[in-house]
Formats: sequence, structure tokens, C-alpha cells
Amino acid sequence: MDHELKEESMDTKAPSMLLPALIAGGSFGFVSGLPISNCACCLWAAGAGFLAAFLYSKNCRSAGSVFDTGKGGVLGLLTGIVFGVVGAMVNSVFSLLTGGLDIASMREAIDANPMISDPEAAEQALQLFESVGPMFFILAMALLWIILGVLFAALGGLIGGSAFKVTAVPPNSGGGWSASPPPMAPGGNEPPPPPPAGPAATF
Amino acid sequence: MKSVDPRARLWLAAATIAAGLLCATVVSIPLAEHRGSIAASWLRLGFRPACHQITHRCLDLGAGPLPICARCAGLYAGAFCGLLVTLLGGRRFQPRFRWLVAAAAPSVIDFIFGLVHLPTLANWPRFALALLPGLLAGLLLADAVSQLADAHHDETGETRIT
Repeated sequence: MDHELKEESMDTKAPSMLLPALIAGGSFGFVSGLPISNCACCLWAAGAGFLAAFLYSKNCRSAGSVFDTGKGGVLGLLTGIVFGVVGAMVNSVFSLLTGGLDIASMREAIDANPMISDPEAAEQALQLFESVGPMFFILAMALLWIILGVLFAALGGLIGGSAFKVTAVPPNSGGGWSASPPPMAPGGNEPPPPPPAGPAATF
Repeated sequence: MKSVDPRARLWLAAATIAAGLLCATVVSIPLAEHRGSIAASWLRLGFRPACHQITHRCLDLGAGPLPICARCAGLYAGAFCGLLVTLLGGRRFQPRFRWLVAAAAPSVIDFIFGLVHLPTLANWPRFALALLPGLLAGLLLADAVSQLADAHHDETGETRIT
């Protein structure tokens, strides 16, 4: 009963996930959207989820709240949405500014890319591009960016939730936080011994 | 080291199968393209937002370059191995964050060398270096999946099988 009350109290103290998600998702999303930074691949999104989990675990530690993989996953999803939206916007703006979405530059890019070895597939892509226009490609790419961002950031959040988890210790077990004030040492005015450096955490 | 709850193994098996399918897709795309599949070319395009796809940085297993670079391939393969090890071993490994940092350090150094145009590793060593951080990330992911499964079963009121 006491434990339930304590956990309830901890839940109400849980810090907001929005700020870590905005910081991690926004910064990594911005960097990933720049045309020069695609060399770190999917790690930007996974890193955003992981960083958000790290920031949130610090907040949880100072607020005395629990942080586990479930919360890590949710935080990763939230971060992924921010990451995807910011990354897609930055990428779209750069694509429009640099004129990389007209048919000539698209043909040039396809011709220069030895990955696209099948000329039939290349021609299909160009025909599709011509028929739907650049805005469709921008929207499709943005949607793909958001989907992949959410997916990888959720994975990063899950991994971060496992790496930085902050667990509650049941009351009267000699460690962790308690919603109630710490007990005084019996028969004296000495303050109780200081709590351990932190709750059980793997980090 | 905790053991994996037998019911959590289902979740873990699903995650491992998903990771295995992803790896299998990566390997099969150049093979399918080699046999003239246009769908494989479109699938390759689907990996574009997830990887730079610079040809000379991608492993070639004989049928053409993989749709992701050697480093990404190492990370994916390592993560799959991490999930598989946990699933088959039935034990939850919880590598510390500093181990992950230490394992990722060589890949990060190689990445920075590439950014500042210093000589970098060839594809296979780059793949091999990325395997270890991928493996540790996979172990952490497996632990996370097991925890999620445990929490789900606790919420639904099922008794834990030990």
C-alpha cells in the first residue's frame, strides 16, 4: 500500500518528455537535413532517441521519477516525430534552394549514380518524377523521412531506456528516493546518513 | 544477469525475426537486381533516407553493391546478432553505456577521419568495426524488448514464469 502510494507520487512528479524530445529531435533533425551530413545515415535518428533518453533520465533522476524502457520507447517516438518534421523541412528547403528537384538535375543524379544499374528502373523513376512533379517528391521524401525517423528514434529511445534506466527502490530498503522525508537517526539530532549517489541505474 | 521470461521470448523472437528480415532484404536486393527485378531497385531507393548509399563505401557480395554502406551493414548485422544471442542464450545482457562508447569509438574515429578527408578504412574493416557497437546495441535492445514484455504481462496480470 505504502509502495503504491509512493509510486503514484512518483508518477505525478514525472518530468515532461517534451523538452528532451524537442532538444534532441530538433538539433539532430536539423543536422540530418543538411545536404552534407547524410554520412552518419540512420544514426542521426537513433542518436536523437538515445540522446533524448539520456536527457530525460537525468531529469528523472533529479525529480525522483522512474525511467524505464517503456517510457524510453514513447520518448523515442516523440523525438522521432520532431526529428522527422524538422529534418524533412530542412531537407526540403535545401532541395528547393539548390534547385535539385528539376528534371534535368534528377536525370543527372540518376545517370551519375552507379547504384541505379537498371536503365528501365531509371527511366521509370524519371517518368514518374515528370508526371507527378517535384512537390510530390518533396512530400513523399518528407513522409519517408518522418517514418524512418520515428522508427529509428524509437529504437534509440528503447536502447536509451535500457542503458539509462532509473529504477525506484521500495521504501525502507535502505536506498533510493522516497516521497516521505528521510527518517531521523534514532535518539539523536544527527542527520540521517546521506542517500546513495543515485537510484539503481545501470549507467 | 537475468534470464528471459519464457513469454518474453515471443516478443524477442518477433524482434529478432524483424531484424533478420531487414538484413536478408539488404543482402537480397543486389541479387534480385542482378536477376532483373525492378521492384528491387525501388526497394533500394527506399533505403535512401537511411543511408548515403555511396557506391564505393558499400560492400559488394558479387551481385552488386548493397543498398546500405559497410558501416550501416555492420551495425544492422551486429544488432541482429545481439538479439539472436539473447534469444538463443535465454539471458538478458545489460552492457554498460561506457562499453557502448568504447565499442563505438573506433567507428567514430574512422567517421571523423572521413569528414576531414584523412585516410579511412576499407569496407570490410569498417564493417567489422561496426559489428561490435551494433552487437551491444542489439543486446540493449533485446533487454528493452524483454522489459517491455515483462511490463505488459505485469499489467495484464499474468503470473510470471520463472
